[in-house]
Amino acid sequence: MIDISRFDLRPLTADMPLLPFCCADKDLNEFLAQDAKNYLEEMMAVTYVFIDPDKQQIAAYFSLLNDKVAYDPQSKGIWNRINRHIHNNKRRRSYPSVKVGRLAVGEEYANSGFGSIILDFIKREYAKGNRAGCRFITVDAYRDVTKFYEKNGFEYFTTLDILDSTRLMYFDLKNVKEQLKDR
Amino acid sequence: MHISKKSSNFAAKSCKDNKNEHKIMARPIKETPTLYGEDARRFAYAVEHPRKVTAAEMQRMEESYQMVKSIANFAF
Repeated sequence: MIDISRFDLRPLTADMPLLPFCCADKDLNEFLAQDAKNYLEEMMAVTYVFIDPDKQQIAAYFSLLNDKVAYDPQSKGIWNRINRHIHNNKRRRSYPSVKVGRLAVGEEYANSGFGSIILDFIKREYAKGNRAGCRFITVDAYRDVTKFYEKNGFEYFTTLDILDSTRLMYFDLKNVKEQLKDR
Repeated sequence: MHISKKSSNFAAKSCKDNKNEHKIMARPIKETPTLYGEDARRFAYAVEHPRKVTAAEMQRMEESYQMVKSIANFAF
């Protein structure tokens, strides 16, 4: 497991000069270089960067945005089953979530457990420390790294996106929260 | 067609080479769609039966959390 204690973690800001970043996927390189600040300006996603101060480069980054998981409102049968487990005044047809829009680890730091550390941090943060309700972590995962998310406990929403370049997956925070209560 | 050709040229180069290339937008972040039919039923079942988290997973999660928190220069 990589020792990240020498890195700095900070949110990307509009005026922050972008340090170099290079990972194996050119789309993820381009997202950070071209799009991350636009998402920030439009209040669509916030990107957090891990800076390697010794090499003056970005070691990894992730982008978060608010999300929701919704069911088909026509499917009353489904809703009845779900709603049995939720108090009357809390019944709803969608669940608040947070989406990992992008997550990338630089080539130099890849295959070191860095990605899992980031996901664990997000899970723990949103399971207990969040200031707003959040039941799921969702992710728009590049197809060639879905196994990584599976290994980290994520499941697929659907098989309809099986041929897409990215697949939507989710992680349920419910039991993480339950376990944190006992600590 | 023009874009994809440019894109494939782009992919063949290293990150250093890319710096002065044409700007190409990355794929947009996909929206989570409303679930229907079998997908909705499967998800409803998962909501009722959330996956168990092991003590080892919780331990690892806590360690990662503390590690990342210690290097964050802001209140998350």
